[in-house]
Amino acid sequence: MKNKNGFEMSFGMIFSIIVGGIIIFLAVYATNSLFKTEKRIVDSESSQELSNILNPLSTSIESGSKPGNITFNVESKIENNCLQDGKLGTQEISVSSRSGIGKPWQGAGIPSKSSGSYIFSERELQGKEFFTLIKPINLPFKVGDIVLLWNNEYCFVEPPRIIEEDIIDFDLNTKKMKIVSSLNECSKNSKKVCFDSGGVYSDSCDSIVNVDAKRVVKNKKIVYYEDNLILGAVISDPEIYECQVSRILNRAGAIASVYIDKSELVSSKSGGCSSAMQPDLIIFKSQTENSSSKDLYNLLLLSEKIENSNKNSICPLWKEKII
Amino acid sequence: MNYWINKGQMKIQQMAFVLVAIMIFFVLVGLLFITLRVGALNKSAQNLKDDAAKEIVKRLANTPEFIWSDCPGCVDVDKAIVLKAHAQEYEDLWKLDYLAFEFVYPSRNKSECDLVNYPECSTITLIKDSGEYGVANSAYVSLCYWDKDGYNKCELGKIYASGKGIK
Repeated sequence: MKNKNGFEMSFGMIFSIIVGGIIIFLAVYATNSLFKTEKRIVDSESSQELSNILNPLSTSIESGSKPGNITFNVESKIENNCLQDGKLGTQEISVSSRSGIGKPWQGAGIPSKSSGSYIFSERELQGKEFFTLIKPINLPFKVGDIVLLWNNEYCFVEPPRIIEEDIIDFDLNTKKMKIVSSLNECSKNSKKVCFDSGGVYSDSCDSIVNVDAKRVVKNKKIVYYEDNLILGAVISDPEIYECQVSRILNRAGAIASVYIDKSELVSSKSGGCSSAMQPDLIIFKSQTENSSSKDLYNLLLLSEKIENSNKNSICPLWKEKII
Repeated sequence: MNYWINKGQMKIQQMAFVLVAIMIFFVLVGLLFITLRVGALNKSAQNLKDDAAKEIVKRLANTPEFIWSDCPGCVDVDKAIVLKAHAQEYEDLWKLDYLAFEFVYPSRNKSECDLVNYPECSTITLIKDSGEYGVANSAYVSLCYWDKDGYNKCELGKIYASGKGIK
C-alpha cells in the first residue's frame, strides 16, 4: 500500500541538495576570502602609492614646501611606524580602507618601507583627507626632508613667532591649524597646543611647548626639538618623534662620513684645502651615534662651528644654511 | 530487484562522475584565476617599483648624499666617487639594482672611475646587481666636482637607475 500524502525524495534530489549546499558554501567562503585578499592587495598598493607620493616631496630649497592635500576615495586609516633597524632605520607606512562588508576595519595592507623618508605624525590617522608639510633638515649640510602628516585639528594658543610664521606662510590655517589667543577659543575636538613661555596653559592642553628649553610635553613624555622640528614634535606621537629624530641623526652621521672622505679627496687635489674641517666632522659623526632629541642642542652648536669653518674655507664642501 | 539495485548504482556512478567533473572544473577555473591574478599582481608590483625608480632618478640629484648645493638638480660627483666604496651600506636607502653616473659632454674615453683615475674617467657605477636589472631609467643632470685647478667644474652627464626587480 502506498502513502499518497508522503513526499518522496529521489536519491538524485538528496544528492543534488547536499552537493549543491557544499558548492554554495565553498563559493561563499571563496568569495569572502577573495574579497579579503583583494582588499589587502588594494590596501598594499595604496600604501606603496602613498609612499611614492610622499617620497618625491623633497625640497631643494631651504624653507620648506607645501604640497597638495592627500585625499582617499573612502575613509582610510594610515598607520605610521618607525623602526631603528639597520644603518639608517626604516619608515613603514600602511593604509587600511574602510570595508563595507563584515568588520569595517580588517587590518592594513603590507606596509611600504623606506629608509630615506621621515614621516612625523600620530601612530594612526583616520579620515579621508590628510595634510602634509615638508621641511628640510640641515645639520649643517642637508640631511634630508621631514614630512609632517596630520588630519586632526590643532589649536595653537598664543604661539611664538616661528610657528605663527609657518602657519601664515604655508597657509596652514586652512589645513586645520588655527591660531587663537585663549584656550576657550579652541573647538572641543581640536588638539590644544599651549606654550608655557606665555604662562597660559592648563590641564586641557594636549601638548605643552616650552620655547626657552625647546621641549614639548605630550602624553606625559618629554621630547626636544630644534627649529624645523617644532611642528613635528607637536603633531607626532612622542615615540615616533624620538625614533625619527634618532634616524635623522644617524643619517647626519653617515653624510658626515661622506664629507670626511670628500674633504680628503679635495684636500689631496688642492694641497690641504678643507682638511681643517675633518676633526670637527669626526667628532660630529661620533656624537650622532645612539643619539636622541636630547642631543640636538649640542649637535646644533657643533654644526654651527663646522658651518663657520666651511664658510671660511676656500673650497667649501657644501653651501646649505643651518635650519 | 537486481534491476533497481543496478539502476541505483548507475545513478551513484553518474553523480560521482558529475561531482568529479565539477571539482575538476572548479580547480581549473581556480588555477586559471590564480595564474592570471599572480601575473597581474607581479606586473602591478613591478610597475610600482619602476615608478619608484623613476621618481628616484628625478630626485636623486637632490638627495643629501649627492646634492651639489650651488645649483638645484646638480650632482656632486666628488661625493659619488667616495660613496662608491660604501654603496652597499646605502642599498636599503635607494633600493636599486643599478645606479651609475656617466659623463656625457665633453666626451671622455670610456672607463670606469676609481679613486686613482678620477676625474679622468667616464662612468661611476655605484650599484650593479649581479642578476638581471632590465632597462635602467635615465635622466640628464649636471655632474659637478672640485677641479684640481682650484675651481668648481660642471659637465653634462646622465644618471642611470633601475628599481629592484621582483624575485
